[in-house]
Amino acid sequence: MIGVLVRIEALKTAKRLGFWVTTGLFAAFNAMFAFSSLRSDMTRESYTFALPEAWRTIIEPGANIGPFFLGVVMILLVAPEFSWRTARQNVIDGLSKERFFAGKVILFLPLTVVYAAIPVVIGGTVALLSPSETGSPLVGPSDFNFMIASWLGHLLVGSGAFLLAALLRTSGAAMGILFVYLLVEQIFADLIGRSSEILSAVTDFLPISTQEVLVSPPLHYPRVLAEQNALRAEQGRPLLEFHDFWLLVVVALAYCAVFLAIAFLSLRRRDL
Amino acid sequence: MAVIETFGLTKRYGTRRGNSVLAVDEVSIAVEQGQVFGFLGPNGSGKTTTIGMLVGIINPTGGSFRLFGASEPQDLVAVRTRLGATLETPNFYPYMTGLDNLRVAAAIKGVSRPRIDECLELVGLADRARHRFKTYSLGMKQRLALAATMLNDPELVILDEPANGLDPQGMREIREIIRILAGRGKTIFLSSHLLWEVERTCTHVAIVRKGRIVTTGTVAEVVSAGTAALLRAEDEDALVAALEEYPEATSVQRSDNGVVVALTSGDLAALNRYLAGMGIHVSHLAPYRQSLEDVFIDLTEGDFGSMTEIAT
Repeated sequence: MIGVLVRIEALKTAKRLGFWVTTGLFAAFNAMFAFSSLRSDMTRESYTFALPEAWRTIIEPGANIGPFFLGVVMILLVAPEFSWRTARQNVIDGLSKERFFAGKVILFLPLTVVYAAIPVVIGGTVALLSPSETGSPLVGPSDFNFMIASWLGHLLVGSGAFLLAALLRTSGAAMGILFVYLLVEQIFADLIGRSSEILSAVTDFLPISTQEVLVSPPLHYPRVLAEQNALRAEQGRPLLEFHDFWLLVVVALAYCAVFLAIAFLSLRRRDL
Repeated sequence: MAVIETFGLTKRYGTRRGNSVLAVDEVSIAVEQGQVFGFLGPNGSGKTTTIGMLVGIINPTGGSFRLFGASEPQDLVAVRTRLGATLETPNFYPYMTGLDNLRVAAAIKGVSRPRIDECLELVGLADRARHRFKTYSLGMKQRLALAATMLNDPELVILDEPANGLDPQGMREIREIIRILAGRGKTIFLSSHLLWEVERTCTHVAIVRKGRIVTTGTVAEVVSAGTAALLRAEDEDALVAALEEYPEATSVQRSDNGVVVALTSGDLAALNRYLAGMGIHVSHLAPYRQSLEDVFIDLTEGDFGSMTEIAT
């Protein structure tokens, strides 16, 4: 049955122009960023965009913006199944609601990997073109953690978008709520965070805050953290402190599990 | 062997009692293997909701049902591979071609490519198979839905208003396809508004009104269940008034040929004596063979009241 689900989801996705346009835009964004970094290196003749040092620079922009491109893609691939009533037809044709959901999860998980990998592949390839002779494509432990964190960020925001698509069942409403939430969470966190330290600690673990912290370079690179804290100390600003990386990993995975579980229960309980 | 059995199947929309709608009210029917079963009712009477529960897209709020003898959720998923169904409007991916849409359905049903081509040929869509679904006319969409239904050569075919949007030629083709399928021993569960089509095509019918089954049986049983008479008299208004007072009359309708009265018994002599006693002498009194449409209108009378009032 897994083979059948893979086949039908691959067919639906491969034929969907919206998927290719969104993914293409994300790839183009990463390519533009990588080439502009390389060009800037060439102009200055200081080759900082060379591997392995460039991994941080390569991963960071994609890790920040990629989850939202993936969120749009997930909404485009899930919500119309309800508005076009094709989810209903799939069930009539013989898929149970549970298998229909499994098909969407089978689609979602590889897409998180693809989206997390796009900056690595494009940026890594462009960085290999750098004339720097120090370059080696080796991925260090910090780089690897940053890549895992980037993937988790995609998983977290993508599963949130999946949930919105499954609950609201229309692409426009789901996208609207997703982008409004991005704004509202920050405002909410700022307001609540000011009132007490305990609440401020809780707001650190709101979904978007968790994703932002996960893909923050100082969390993964001690040298970057030291540099930024030195600067902050000079300016008299409070030093950066982060929760444990593995705690953030657990929180991100827990959000993903809860979002997918709610989407599953909603699909099972509601009529198609 | 019963292919479909429902036992007090119920669907209530909305949770609050005062605000909820009872769409299907304790529907109990049995469809035996090989029957062509017509499921009739006015718009909003619960036909599609009932079918939706059978095919697993709507959760019942009461009662139960069996398909091919299976009633447990896991077993129902397995036996649903033995049925083919279309519900209301055809639901396909608009950005995909007809062929790709059938490839999705075929993958779910475990059907090979040659069978897709066969079904496309059967419904006359082979030439347009590589065009996108969104470019299809409503009739073509209905044909594609029929092709998807037949992909797995189902033992039970459920068709909900299959003639919607079709021209007379298309309706005739649908009727032919139903006849071919019935000839092959398939069980067909057909919901339709085209009563004369149902009368010509179906072996059994159930009429549903406001979510409840009001009659069920063979077409002949349902049509002859109520005896009717056609009457004419010089003073037709007096005739209608008298008939409306007759205790054995269940409905009185004017027609082009006179007045049709549906009766609980076939004793036309008693009717004649009653009218004579009322001072009405009829110029014509004869048994009247009701059509399925007449029975349907009798049983669902009142559901169309507001429309006829607007028209008059």
